[in-house]
Amino acid sequence: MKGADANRLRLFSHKIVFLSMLPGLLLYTVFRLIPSVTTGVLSFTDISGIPGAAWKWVGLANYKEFLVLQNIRDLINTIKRTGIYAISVTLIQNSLALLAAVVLNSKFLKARNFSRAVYFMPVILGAAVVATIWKLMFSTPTGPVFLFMQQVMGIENPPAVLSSYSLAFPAVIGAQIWQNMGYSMVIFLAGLQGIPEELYESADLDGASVWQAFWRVTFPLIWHALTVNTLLAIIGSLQSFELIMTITRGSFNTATLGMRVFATAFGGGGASATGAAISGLRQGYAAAQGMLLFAVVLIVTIISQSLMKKAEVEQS
Amino acid sequence: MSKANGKGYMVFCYAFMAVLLFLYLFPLFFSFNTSLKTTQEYLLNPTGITRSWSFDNYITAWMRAKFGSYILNSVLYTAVCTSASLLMSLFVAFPISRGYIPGSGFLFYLFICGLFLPSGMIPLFQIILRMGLYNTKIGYMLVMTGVNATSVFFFTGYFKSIPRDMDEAAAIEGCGYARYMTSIAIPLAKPAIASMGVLTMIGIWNDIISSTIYLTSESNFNITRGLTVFTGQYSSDWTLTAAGMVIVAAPLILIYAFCQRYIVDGVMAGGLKG
Repeated sequence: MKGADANRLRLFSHKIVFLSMLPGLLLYTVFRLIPSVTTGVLSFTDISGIPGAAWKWVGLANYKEFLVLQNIRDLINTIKRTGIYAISVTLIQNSLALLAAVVLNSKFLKARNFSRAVYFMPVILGAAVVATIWKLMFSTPTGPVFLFMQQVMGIENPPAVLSSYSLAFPAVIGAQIWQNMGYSMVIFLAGLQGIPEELYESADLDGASVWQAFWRVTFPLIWHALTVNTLLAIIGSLQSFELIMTITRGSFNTATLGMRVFATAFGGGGASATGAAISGLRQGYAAAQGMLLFAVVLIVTIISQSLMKKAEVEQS
Repeated sequence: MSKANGKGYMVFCYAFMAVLLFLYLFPLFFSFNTSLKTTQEYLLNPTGITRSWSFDNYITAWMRAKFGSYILNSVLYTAVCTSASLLMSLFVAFPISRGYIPGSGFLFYLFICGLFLPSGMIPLFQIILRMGLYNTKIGYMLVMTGVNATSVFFFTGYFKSIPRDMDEAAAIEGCGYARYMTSIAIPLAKPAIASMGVLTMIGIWNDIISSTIYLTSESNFNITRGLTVFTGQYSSDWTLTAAGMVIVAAPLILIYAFCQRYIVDGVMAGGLKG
């Protein structure tokens, strides 16, 4: 193998091969790797987003400001919201997606392809369109959700959901799940299609119910897809703020840590618990928050991965 | 499924599918329907099916928001960034998958890192700012091209399925590297290129974060940024907002209708390997 490889190395001239890789490698290094690694460096400075403004090293001041000096309620609220967002999106999105995939995998079902196409559509439509759709749905006093609350549920003065301090956040979570459920579903479907039909037939012969067949056959065999989906949903929901940004801009208690990083660095974003708006363009401070977010993502990923590996071993 | 509970299971499946279909189709239909109403009709009967079939909203939205210019920009950004990103990924992925240059393993590892490392949004902004490319089309396109680690990963895997004997045969026949790539290797990777191409295209077309960060003049806006600013300005004019939304969504739905297979293939492959 080694000798054969060495032979093949001579097939094409190294110089030409390397030259053809150069643009890609260069662009990737300058616009992806270096920025990614230097976030940590910037987190020790007070650099701003204003061109030509002076900056200096500030040591751990940004971390201290976020963890100690800011109003403790702001800190707790941010952590709480980020956690609620990640956990509820991961759980609900994956449960719905798994159920939808199992249902759409039933051979007797009519309109399976149509349904799959519809459920997947919001993934294609993207945040700007999805946000507009849900702003329309939640608008007052003519939006369908408002009318539903008023006329079906009989609430006299239905709240304006997207400008409510208690309801805007669940609404954004709902929109996030609505947009990405189809993505997880497609990954589950790929896993389900890999399960041989005979397994269900023999389960059927053994008199297993649908429920038993699901837990004994389907569930263990799509464990890999479940691991992938859980990981994608956790990482995605911890980091993503596209919908939060486009629906509420982080106002009305909807700012997660990811949204705060963006708002601190580039402006926008809602008021904090103390009423002070999150001030933009403080990019050193934002970088420190970004590093903390990265640490959270890393820890949560490692923990959830090892938990799911352990469960996999116990199952078999 | 066993006969005893077959029926109950069937009922459950259809019920679940129908409820979910309603949750997905209703918001889409409601928005489209709203875009076809006059403001007066919408206020009187927001949920009824349109009777006026008014296309005025589209004309008004198109004229007020310069959607023509946004679409042109988006087409430019998407075409340039997608082709540049795919081409560079292909040329990076092929030698890595074959081990044709020293350090291929290390390079592959570097690209894997890109899948997990944080986004580097802030330093990237500083780089673009200091290069004087803030709020320019070139700067935005550089950010959006950035070479997608996912496609490098995907192509590397795909090239492994193409037999090495082809390389040898071509090299013995005296075929140069550039010609080999453009006339044999890349055409053979067409299915992979189609999947990654559509996914990359949609990602760039839908980008809202980078366009919010880097584009401040209206003449540089891409379509999603244009829509967001437009809906902000006319936030209570719902029929107009809905029309703007449909203008943005229409090209996406068209692409989706024709390329669904590639999109789903790409997602499945990416998900299973990830």
